[in-house]
Amino acid sequence: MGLPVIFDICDEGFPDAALQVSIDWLHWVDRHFSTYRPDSQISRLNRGDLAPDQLHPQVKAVLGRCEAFRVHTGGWFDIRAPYMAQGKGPEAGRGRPGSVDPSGYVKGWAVSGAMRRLNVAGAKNACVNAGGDVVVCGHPDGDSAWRIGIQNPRSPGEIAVALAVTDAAVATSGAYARGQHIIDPFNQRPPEGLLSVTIVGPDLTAADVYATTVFAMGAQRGAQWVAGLDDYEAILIRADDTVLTTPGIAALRI
Amino acid sequence: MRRSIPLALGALSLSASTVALPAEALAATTYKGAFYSERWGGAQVSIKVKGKKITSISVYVQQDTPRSIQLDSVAIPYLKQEALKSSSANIHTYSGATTTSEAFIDSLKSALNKAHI
Repeated sequence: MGLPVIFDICDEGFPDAALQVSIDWLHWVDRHFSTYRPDSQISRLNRGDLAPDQLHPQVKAVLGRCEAFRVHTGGWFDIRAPYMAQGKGPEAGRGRPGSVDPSGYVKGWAVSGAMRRLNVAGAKNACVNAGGDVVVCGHPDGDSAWRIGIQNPRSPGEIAVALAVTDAAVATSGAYARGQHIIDPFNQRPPEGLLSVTIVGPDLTAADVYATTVFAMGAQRGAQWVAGLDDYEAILIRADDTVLTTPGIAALRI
Repeated sequence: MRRSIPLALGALSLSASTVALPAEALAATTYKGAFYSERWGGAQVSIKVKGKKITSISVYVQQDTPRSIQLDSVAIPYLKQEALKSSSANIHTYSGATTTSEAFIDSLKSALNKAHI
Protein backbone atom coordinates (compact mmCIF):
# COMPACT_ATOMS: atom_id res chain seq x y z
CA MET A 1 0.00 0.00 0.00
CA GLY A 2 3.00 2.28 0.32
CA LEU A 3 1.91 2.92 3.90
CA PRO A 4 3.66 2.00 7.11
CA VAL A 5 1.51 -0.42 9.10
CA ILE A 6 2.13 -0.87 12.79
CA PHE A 7 0.76 -3.87 14.66
CA ASP A 8 0.66 -3.61 18.42
CA ILE A 9 -0.57 -6.89 19.94
CA CYS A 10 -0.69 -7.12 23.70
CA ASP A 11 -2.00 -10.68 24.03
CA GLU A 12 0.69 -12.93 25.43
CA GLY A 13 2.02 -15.59 23.15
CA PHE A 14 0.17 -14.43 20.06
CA PRO A 15 1.65 -16.56 17.26
CA ASP A 16 3.76 -14.96 14.55
CA ALA A 17 2.03 -17.14 11.98
CA ALA A 18 -1.29 -15.50 12.82
CA LEU A 19 0.19 -12.03 12.46
CA GLN A 20 1.56 -13.11 9.09
CA VAL A 21 -1.98 -13.92 7.97
CA SER A 22 -2.93 -10.27 8.52
CA ILE A 23 0.20 -9.04 6.79
CA ASP A 24 -0.42 -11.35 3.83
CA TRP A 25 -3.97 -10.01 3.61
CA LEU A 26 -2.68 -6.42 3.33
CA HIS A 27 -0.29 -7.43 0.57
CA TRP A 28 -3.10 -9.20 -1.23
CA VAL A 29 -5.23 -6.06 -1.09
CA ASP A 30 -2.33 -3.97 -2.31
CA ARG A 31 -1.67 -6.27 -5.27
CA HIS A 32 -5.28 -6.16 -6.38
CA PHE A 33 -6.27 -2.56 -5.63
CA SER A 34 -3.25 -0.30 -5.67
CA THR A 35 -3.42 2.43 -8.29
CA TYR A 36 0.36 2.64 -8.02
CA ARG A 37 0.74 -0.92 -9.31
CA PRO A 38 0.23 -1.14 -13.08
CA ASP A 39 -0.81 -4.79 -12.79
CA SER A 40 -3.45 -4.37 -10.08
CA GLN A 41 -7.07 -5.09 -11.00
CA ILE A 42 -7.95 -1.41 -10.58
CA SER A 43 -5.10 -0.20 -12.78
CA ARG A 44 -6.01 -2.72 -15.46
CA LEU A 45 -9.66 -1.72 -15.23
CA ASN A 46 -8.73 1.93 -15.61
CA ARG A 47 -6.60 1.19 -18.66
CA GLY A 48 -9.38 -0.79 -20.26
CA ASP A 49 -7.45 -4.07 -20.05
CA LEU A 50 -10.14 -5.58 -17.86
CA ALA A 51 -13.86 -5.20 -18.29
CA PRO A 52 -15.92 -4.65 -15.13
CA ASP A 53 -17.47 -8.10 -15.41
CA GLN A 54 -14.01 -9.69 -15.62
CA LEU A 55 -12.91 -8.37 -12.26
CA HIS A 56 -12.09 -10.57 -9.30
CA PRO A 57 -15.28 -11.06 -7.23
CA GLN A 58 -13.76 -9.32 -4.23
CA VAL A 59 -12.91 -6.30 -6.39
CA LYS A 60 -16.43 -6.24 -7.81
CA ALA A 61 -17.82 -6.39 -4.30
CA VAL A 62 -15.68 -3.44 -3.23
CA LEU A 63 -16.77 -1.35 -6.21
CA GLY A 64 -20.38 -2.23 -5.38
CA ARG A 65 -19.95 -1.03 -1.81
CA CYS A 66 -18.28 2.16 -3.02
CA GLU A 67 -21.34 2.81 -5.15
CA ALA A 68 -23.56 2.25 -2.11
CA PHE A 69 -21.50 4.82 -0.21
CA ARG A 70 -21.79 7.21 -3.13
CA VAL A 71 -25.55 7.04 -2.82
CA HIS A 72 -25.47 7.18 0.98
CA THR A 73 -23.37 10.36 0.91
CA GLY A 74 -25.47 12.09 -1.73
CA GLY A 75 -22.62 11.79 -4.23
CA TRP A 76 -19.93 13.28 -2.00
CA PHE A 77 -17.99 10.03 -1.82
CA ASP A 78 -17.28 9.25 -5.44
CA ILE A 79 -14.43 7.01 -6.53
CA ARG A 80 -14.46 8.64 -9.97
CA ALA A 81 -13.80 12.06 -8.44
CA PRO A 82 -9.99 12.05 -8.57
CA TYR A 83 -10.22 11.60 -12.34
CA MET A 84 -12.66 14.44 -12.80
CA ALA A 85 -10.21 17.15 -11.79
CA GLN A 86 -9.89 19.84 -14.41
CA GLY A 87 -7.23 21.77 -12.61
CA LYS A 88 -3.51 21.39 -12.55
CA GLY A 89 -3.36 19.18 -9.47
CA PRO A 90 -1.49 15.89 -9.39
CA GLU A 91 -4.62 13.94 -10.31
CA ALA A 92 -5.56 16.07 -13.33
CA GLY A 93 -5.90 14.23 -16.56
CA ARG A 94 -4.92 10.90 -15.04
CA GLY A 95 -6.42 7.86 -16.68
CA ARG A 96 -9.28 7.27 -19.07
CA PRO A 97 -12.75 8.67 -18.48
CA GLY A 98 -14.59 6.38 -16.11
CA SER A 99 -11.40 5.55 -14.21
CA VAL A 100 -11.79 4.99 -10.51
CA ASP A 101 -9.69 5.29 -7.41
CA PRO A 102 -11.31 3.42 -4.52
CA SER A 103 -8.47 4.15 -2.10
CA GLY A 104 -10.76 6.08 0.24
CA TYR A 105 -12.64 2.84 0.84
CA VAL A 106 -9.89 0.25 0.36
CA LYS A 107 -7.48 1.55 2.98
CA GLY A 108 -9.98 1.41 5.85
CA TRP A 109 -11.39 -1.87 4.61
CA ALA A 110 -7.96 -3.47 4.34
CA VAL A 111 -6.88 -2.45 7.82
CA SER A 112 -10.24 -3.41 9.27
CA GLY A 113 -9.79 -6.82 7.67
CA ALA A 114 -6.32 -7.11 9.15
CA MET A 115 -7.69 -6.52 12.65
CA ARG A 116 -10.52 -8.97 12.06
CA ARG A 117 -7.99 -11.66 11.13
CA LEU A 118 -6.08 -10.96 14.33
CA ASN A 119 -9.32 -11.32 16.30
CA VAL A 120 -10.18 -14.60 14.57
CA ALA A 121 -6.75 -15.86 15.64
CA GLY A 122 -7.54 -14.91 19.22
CA ALA A 123 -6.14 -11.41 19.68
CA LYS A 124 -8.24 -9.43 22.14
CA ASN A 125 -6.00 -6.48 22.88
CA ALA A 126 -4.48 -4.94 19.81
CA CYS A 127 -3.95 -1.79 17.82
CA VAL A 128 -3.35 -1.61 14.09
CA ASN A 129 -2.26 1.71 12.65
CA ALA A 130 -1.85 2.10 8.90
CA GLY A 131 -0.50 5.52 8.06
CA GLY A 132 -2.90 7.22 10.43
CA ASP A 133 -5.96 4.97 10.09
CA VAL A 134 -6.30 3.22 13.44
CA VAL A 135 -8.39 0.34 14.71
CA VAL A 136 -8.17 -0.93 18.28
CA CYS A 137 -9.66 -3.64 20.44
CA GLY A 138 -9.33 -4.30 24.13
CA HIS A 139 -6.66 -2.32 25.89
CA PRO A 140 -2.89 -2.14 26.22
CA ASP A 141 -1.08 -3.44 29.29
CA GLY A 142 -1.73 -1.40 32.38
CA ASP A 143 -4.37 0.79 30.78
CA SER A 144 -8.12 0.57 30.34
CA ALA A 145 -8.17 2.00 26.82
CA TRP A 146 -5.98 2.88 23.86
CA ARG A 147 -4.95 6.53 23.83
CA ILE A 148 -4.89 8.00 20.36
CA GLY A 149 -3.50 11.42 19.48
CA ILE A 150 -4.98 13.32 16.53
CA GLN A 151 -2.29 15.10 14.59
CA ASN A 152 -2.24 18.89 14.74
CA PRO A 153 -2.29 19.85 11.04
CA ARG A 154 -0.43 23.08 11.76
CA SER A 155 2.29 21.34 13.67
CA PRO A 156 3.10 17.77 12.62
CA GLY A 157 4.49 15.77 15.49
CA GLU A 158 2.12 17.59 17.83
CA ILE A 159 -1.30 16.41 18.94
CA ALA A 160 -4.42 18.54 18.64
CA VAL A 161 -6.84 16.24 20.44
CA ALA A 162 -6.25 13.07 22.46
CA LEU A 163 -8.86 10.31 22.78
CA ALA A 164 -9.15 7.20 24.93
CA VAL A 165 -11.00 4.46 23.03
CA THR A 166 -11.52 0.72 22.88
CA ASP A 167 -13.15 -1.45 20.20
CA ALA A 168 -13.23 1.47 17.82
CA ALA A 169 -11.77 2.91 14.66
CA VAL A 170 -10.22 6.33 14.05
CA ALA A 171 -9.70 7.63 10.52
CA THR A 172 -8.28 11.01 9.57
CA SER A 173 -8.43 12.73 6.19
CA GLY A 174 -6.56 15.87 5.39
CA ALA A 175 -4.77 17.94 2.82
CA TYR A 176 -1.66 18.93 4.66
CA ALA A 177 0.52 15.92 4.06
CA ARG A 178 0.17 15.01 0.41
CA GLY A 179 -1.26 18.21 -0.96
CA GLN A 180 -4.74 18.45 -2.41
CA HIS A 181 -5.48 14.87 -3.29
CA ILE A 182 -9.14 14.92 -2.36
CA ILE A 183 -11.37 16.43 -5.00
CA ASP A 184 -14.92 17.74 -4.58
CA PRO A 185 -16.85 15.64 -7.08
CA PHE A 186 -19.29 18.42 -7.87
CA ASN A 187 -16.99 21.26 -8.80
CA GLN A 188 -13.85 19.26 -9.48
CA ARG A 189 -11.75 21.40 -7.19
CA PRO A 190 -10.11 20.79 -3.87
CA PRO A 191 -12.54 21.58 -1.04
CA GLU A 192 -12.18 24.60 1.15
CA GLY A 193 -12.05 25.38 4.77
CA LEU A 194 -10.89 22.17 6.39
CA LEU A 195 -7.39 21.10 7.35
CA SER A 196 -8.41 17.69 8.60
CA VAL A 197 -11.38 15.52 9.44
CA THR A 198 -11.21 12.71 12.00
CA ILE A 199 -14.02 10.18 12.27
CA VAL A 200 -14.37 7.86 15.27
CA GLY A 201 -16.74 4.90 15.20
CA PRO A 202 -17.25 1.16 15.22
CA ASP A 203 -15.96 0.33 11.72
CA LEU A 204 -12.81 1.60 10.03
CA THR A 205 -14.12 1.06 6.51
CA ALA A 206 -17.00 3.48 7.12
CA ALA A 207 -14.85 5.83 9.19
CA ASP A 208 -12.37 6.12 6.33
CA VAL A 209 -15.13 6.75 3.78
CA TYR A 210 -16.79 9.34 6.01
CA ALA A 211 -13.51 11.13 6.66
CA THR A 212 -12.91 11.40 2.92
CA THR A 213 -16.53 12.43 2.36
CA VAL A 214 -16.64 15.13 5.00
CA PHE A 215 -13.33 16.52 3.85
CA ALA A 216 -14.62 16.75 0.28
CA MET A 217 -17.76 18.52 1.49
CA GLY A 218 -15.77 21.33 3.01
CA ALA A 219 -16.20 23.05 6.33
CA GLN A 220 -19.79 24.16 6.27
CA ARG A 221 -21.61 21.25 4.66
CA GLY A 222 -19.23 18.78 6.28
CA ALA A 223 -20.04 20.08 9.73
CA GLN A 224 -23.76 19.73 9.10
CA TRP A 225 -23.43 16.26 7.64
CA VAL A 226 -21.42 14.77 10.48
CA ALA A 227 -23.83 16.12 13.02
CA GLY A 228 -26.49 13.90 11.45
CA LEU A 229 -24.43 10.69 11.44
CA ASP A 230 -25.46 7.96 13.81
CA ASP A 231 -22.77 5.99 15.63
CA TYR A 232 -19.89 8.05 14.27
CA GLU A 233 -18.29 11.05 15.93
CA ALA A 234 -16.16 13.69 14.27
CA ILE A 235 -13.39 16.20 14.84
CA LEU A 236 -13.12 18.87 12.18
CA ILE A 237 -10.01 21.06 12.18
CA ARG A 238 -10.69 24.14 10.12
CA ALA A 239 -8.38 26.42 8.17
CA ASP A 240 -9.17 29.24 10.61
CA ASP A 241 -7.54 27.17 13.38
CA THR A 242 -10.78 26.25 15.09
CA VAL A 243 -11.81 22.73 16.02
CA LEU A 244 -15.39 21.47 15.79
CA THR A 245 -16.40 18.29 17.62
CA THR A 246 -19.60 16.28 17.70
CA PRO A 247 -21.09 15.76 21.17
CA GLY A 248 -19.83 12.18 21.56
CA ILE A 249 -16.21 13.27 21.36
CA ALA A 250 -16.26 14.93 24.79
CA ALA A 251 -16.65 11.59 26.59
CA LEU A 252 -13.62 10.19 24.75
CA ARG A 253 -11.23 13.05 25.37
CA ILE A 254 -8.26 12.96 27.62
CA MET B 1 -33.33 30.95 -6.35
CA ARG B 2 -36.43 29.38 -4.92
CA ARG B 3 -36.97 25.70 -5.29
CA SER B 4 -39.74 23.46 -4.15
CA ILE B 5 -38.31 20.46 -2.42
CA PRO B 6 -40.51 17.41 -2.39
CA LEU B 7 -39.99 15.70 0.92
CA ALA B 8 -41.67 12.40 1.60
CA LEU B 9 -41.62 12.10 5.37
CA GLY B 10 -41.72 8.34 5.10
CA ALA B 11 -38.44 8.34 3.19
CA LEU B 12 -36.49 10.05 5.93
CA SER B 13 -34.74 8.09 8.60
CA LEU B 14 -35.33 9.57 11.99
CA SER B 15 -32.59 9.60 14.56
CA ALA B 16 -34.92 7.93 17.03
CA SER B 17 -36.22 4.67 15.66
CA THR B 18 -39.94 4.07 15.91
CA VAL B 19 -40.79 3.61 19.55
CA ALA B 20 -43.98 2.57 21.24
CA LEU B 21 -44.80 5.60 23.32
CA PRO B 22 -46.40 4.98 26.67
CA ALA B 23 -49.86 6.46 27.05
CA GLU B 24 -48.51 8.78 29.76
CA ALA B 25 -46.00 10.40 27.42
CA LEU B 26 -47.80 13.70 27.28
CA ALA B 27 -44.68 15.79 26.97
CA ALA B 28 -43.76 16.56 23.40
CA THR B 29 -40.69 14.83 22.11
CA THR B 30 -38.68 16.04 19.17
CA TYR B 31 -37.25 13.63 16.62
CA LYS B 32 -34.69 15.06 14.28
CA GLY B 33 -34.02 13.48 10.91
CA ALA B 34 -30.57 13.21 9.47
CA PHE B 35 -29.38 16.19 7.50
CA TYR B 36 -29.79 15.22 3.86
CA SER B 37 -27.16 16.73 1.66
CA GLU B 38 -27.87 17.28 -2.01
CA ARG B 39 -26.15 19.22 -4.75
CA TRP B 40 -28.28 22.28 -4.15
CA GLY B 41 -27.76 22.26 -0.43
CA GLY B 42 -29.65 20.12 2.01
CA ALA B 43 -32.59 19.69 4.27
CA GLN B 44 -33.31 18.51 7.74
CA VAL B 45 -36.72 17.71 9.08
CA SER B 46 -37.72 17.76 12.69
CA ILE B 47 -41.02 16.50 14.03
CA LYS B 48 -42.59 17.05 17.42
CA VAL B 49 -44.57 14.13 18.71
CA LYS B 50 -47.01 14.20 21.60
CA GLY B 51 -48.37 10.80 22.49
CA LYS B 52 -48.68 9.25 19.05
CA LYS B 53 -49.60 12.44 17.32
CA ILE B 54 -47.25 14.55 15.29
CA THR B 55 -47.88 18.05 16.56
CA SER B 56 -45.54 19.95 14.33
CA ILE B 57 -43.10 19.51 11.51
CA SER B 58 -40.34 21.92 10.81
CA VAL B 59 -37.95 21.88 7.92
CA TYR B 60 -34.62 23.54 7.69
CA VAL B 61 -33.44 24.00 4.15
CA GLN B 62 -30.04 25.18 3.18
CA GLN B 63 -29.22 26.07 -0.39
CA ASP B 64 -25.95 26.74 -2.06
CA THR B 65 -26.77 30.35 -2.70
CA PRO B 66 -25.75 33.29 -0.52
CA ARG B 67 -29.29 33.50 0.79
CA SER B 68 -30.51 30.40 2.57
CA ILE B 69 -34.18 29.71 2.92
CA GLN B 70 -35.42 28.70 6.30
CA LEU B 71 -38.97 27.57 6.20
CA ASP B 72 -38.99 27.04 9.91
CA SER B 73 -35.52 26.84 11.24
CA VAL B 74 -34.43 24.08 13.52
CA ALA B 75 -31.29 24.25 15.56
CA ILE B 76 -28.63 22.47 13.55
CA PRO B 77 -27.02 19.92 15.76
CA TYR B 78 -24.67 21.54 18.07
CA LEU B 79 -21.03 21.11 17.37
CA LYS B 80 -18.66 22.30 20.01
CA GLN B 81 -16.19 24.88 18.77
CA GLU B 82 -12.81 25.62 20.29
CA ALA B 83 -9.41 26.98 19.32
CA LEU B 84 -6.81 24.66 17.81
CA LYS B 85 -3.97 24.05 20.24
CA SER B 86 -1.56 21.31 21.06
CA SER B 87 -2.23 18.71 23.71
CA SER B 88 0.46 17.20 25.87
CA ALA B 89 -1.52 14.04 26.59
CA ASN B 90 0.23 10.73 27.02
CA ILE B 91 -0.69 8.61 23.95
CA HIS B 92 -0.07 5.15 22.50
CA THR B 93 -0.54 5.98 18.85
CA TYR B 94 -1.37 8.67 16.43
CA SER B 95 -3.96 9.42 13.72
CA GLY B 96 -3.25 11.94 11.00
CA ALA B 97 -3.66 12.39 7.27
CA THR B 98 -1.75 9.99 5.09
CA THR B 99 1.87 10.89 4.90
CA THR B 100 4.92 9.33 3.37
CA SER B 101 6.23 6.40 5.37
CA GLU B 102 9.16 8.38 6.72
CA ALA B 103 7.16 11.43 7.65
CA PHE B 104 4.58 9.30 9.43
CA ILE B 105 7.15 7.42 11.48
CA ASP B 106 8.98 10.65 12.30
CA SER B 107 5.78 12.33 13.36
CA LEU B 108 4.74 9.37 15.45
CA LYS B 109 8.11 9.20 17.16
CA SER B 110 8.05 12.90 17.82
CA ALA B 111 4.55 12.80 19.30
CA LEU B 112 5.39 9.80 21.45
CA ASN B 113 8.55 11.52 22.66
CA LYS B 114 6.62 14.57 23.68
CA ALA B 115 4.10 12.36 25.44
CA HIS B 116 7.01 10.72 27.27
CA ILE B 117 6.28 7.18 26.15
